[in-house]
Amino acid sequence: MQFELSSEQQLLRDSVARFIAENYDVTQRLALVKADEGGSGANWQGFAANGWLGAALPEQFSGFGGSAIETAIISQQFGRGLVVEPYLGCAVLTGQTLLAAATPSQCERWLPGLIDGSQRLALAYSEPWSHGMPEIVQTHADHSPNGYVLHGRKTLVLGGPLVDGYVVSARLPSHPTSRGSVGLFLVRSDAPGLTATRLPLHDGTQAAEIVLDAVLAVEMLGDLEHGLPALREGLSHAMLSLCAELVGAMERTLEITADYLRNRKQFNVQIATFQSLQHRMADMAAETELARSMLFVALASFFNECANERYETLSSAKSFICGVARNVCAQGIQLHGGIGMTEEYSVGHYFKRAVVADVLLGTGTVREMATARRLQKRFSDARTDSTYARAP
Amino acid sequence: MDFNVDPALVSFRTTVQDFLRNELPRDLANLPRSISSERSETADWQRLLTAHGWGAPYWPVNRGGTGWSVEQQIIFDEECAAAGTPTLDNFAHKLLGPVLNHFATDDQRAEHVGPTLAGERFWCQGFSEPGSGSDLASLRTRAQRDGDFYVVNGQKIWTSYAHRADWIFLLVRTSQSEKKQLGISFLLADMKTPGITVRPIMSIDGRHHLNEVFFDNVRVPAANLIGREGEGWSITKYLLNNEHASTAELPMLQVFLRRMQNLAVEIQLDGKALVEHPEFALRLSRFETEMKAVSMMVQRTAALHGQESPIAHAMGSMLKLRGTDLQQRMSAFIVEMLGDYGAVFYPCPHEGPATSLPLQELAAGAASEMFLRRASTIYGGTNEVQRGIIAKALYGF
Repeated sequence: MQFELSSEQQLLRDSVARFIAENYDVTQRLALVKADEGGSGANWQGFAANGWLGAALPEQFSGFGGSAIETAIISQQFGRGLVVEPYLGCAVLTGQTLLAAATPSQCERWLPGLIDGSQRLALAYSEPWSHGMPEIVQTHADHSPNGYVLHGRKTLVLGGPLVDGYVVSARLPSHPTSRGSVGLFLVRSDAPGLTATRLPLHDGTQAAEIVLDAVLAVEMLGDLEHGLPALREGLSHAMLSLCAELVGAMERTLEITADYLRNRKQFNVQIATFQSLQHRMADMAAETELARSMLFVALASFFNECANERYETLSSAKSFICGVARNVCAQGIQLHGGIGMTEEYSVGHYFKRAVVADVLLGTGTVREMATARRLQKRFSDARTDSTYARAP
Repeated sequence: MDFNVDPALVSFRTTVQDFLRNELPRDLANLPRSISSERSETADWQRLLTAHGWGAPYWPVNRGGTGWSVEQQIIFDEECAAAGTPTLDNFAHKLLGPVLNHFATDDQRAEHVGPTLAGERFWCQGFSEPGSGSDLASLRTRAQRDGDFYVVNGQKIWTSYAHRADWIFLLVRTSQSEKKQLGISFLLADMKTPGITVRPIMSIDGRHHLNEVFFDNVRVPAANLIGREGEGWSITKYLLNNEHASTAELPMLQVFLRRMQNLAVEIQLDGKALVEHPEFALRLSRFETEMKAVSMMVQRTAALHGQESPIAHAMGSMLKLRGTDLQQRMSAFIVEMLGDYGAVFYPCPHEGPATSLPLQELAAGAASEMFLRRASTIYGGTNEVQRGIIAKALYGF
């Protein structure tokens, strides 16, 4: 393993960092948030022009052939800048789910537009009471002479409603051979029967709640057997992106807070001279480095683990890093005192991002519950195996 | 950045596993122990490794070591812990060893390395004093030059395994200089020298590993001075600098996790194994996750070894904070898993007569380990000292 960035990886990091420095100072970001449009179209075109939207998508579909490492590098810088454009939702989550689900010809149809920024797609998988877990699907698809017709309600659709289309997960209860399987369907946002409601999130990003009332899908992506695995693979990439974002957010919180402690004076001295504050900073730094280590565990799983193992690793990494980020960013507010509570100051916004992140892609506790259930299964399988092995 | 596993390390791990499977005698594996194994067990293990050419797993080739990289050393330690080998004399291998290799004369090395790697010479570390804990440089044990000897007077404390050590490496004050660090020297002394008295200290884990060591006009040959007079403090910094990746004591954490996984199946609650209860499964899975993060942090710390940067300076301290916190929480949870038996005092195997209490086999040693782990955040530089180091290295506070 090699933890240092290669020179090419450094170039990517530097170019994203430069973009953030030029386009994402506190004032510029606040203006974007207040405009309430899910970020700026110009920024999105900038992401596309720099190749970031397709950084980890294959070259045969107009991507740039990178790996999860490129996703993490971009996401980490976006986390430092608290980027509000839906890179996570549209580029990573939807892009990777689509890639995992679709046939090559479908990929050729949908990915190039996603990568060059001309077409925005969002993934609609979570439902009002599924808490972000992809297996819980009430939305259903019925076969009709014209194609698949969808009924249901999806929520926390990242990047919606300002998109051209949605990738929607739905069950096929009446399908003769695959009863209950989950399929992924492409739906145009202007399709009759689709209504989208904008959901503003605490961190200035946007999502949508969509209701599907007999909406005719353009097509099903791939086949029924791969719907759920594709969704999990897309979620693995998205959880990685989110983890990297939070590591960036924690880094920046530490930098901002350290600067503040150096500059702020009380009792006629820099408050950085107080041991209790120094020790708290040290703890925050140590927790951040532990979280970064977990990010590396997550990254390594893209190279050394099969898809199922990877999904488990990413799930536990996601809940772990979100927990650390909530704490570190909250301490950032505390170390600032009153100024940390103000809307105009940056540190509170990092905390907001951490809070939203904990909810996204499966809330912290729900993901942990799923991990714990898999652990139970692993233990019971091991016991069955050893009983079997002992039998004469 | 590259996360592909190095195939050379994979095959190294296999080599170590094969060696342990074939060469570790059954009667040496998985013996009950405190921080260290019994002396005779450690000596047997040391001899066995030396015979195999692995007698100094952490030292460079030109000093008689294996020349393994830090990554290889971690793998060796992990596999030894997994196989339940006795411990080595880590004072010799990980603390004194690098000092001998770097600062000692050829004569000094010739005198000590052979017996140490033959399992015949055990070491203890004489640093802390009653008035010098975190403020180590304030130490007052004096060494006055008298011809070819130093005459040592003073007292050391918290000296682990002094009662079974053959030699001690210690810090002494050889001159009163304005800057307290400058008057310190690094000496080696034979524990049999007249004037050295060892007094045991029982600790809250119910075991005897700590001691006080008194020096009363102890005549130590001047030839036993390591480096130059007054160089003791920089030698000490070098010695402590070598320790970064081991501060979390990862192999021990892995032993804790395995014990936890075993108890999760063996211990019942209301007719079901603990692991079948969601609350326990959740706690266990959180520990598994945290272990993955700490293991990776150890790898990162190892990779930073020898680099000069703020993060390289702070990483070992940060790892110590997170690793020792995990040690304490894991060892406490193991006791919690024992249910009612978590409150039972099981005397340690080597301290007093053997007992046979209910659940002895599963529970013995667990609570003692938990009490002992309160020391993890104290020894090797308290966690408060580590926080100071981190704040200074990273932020210049």
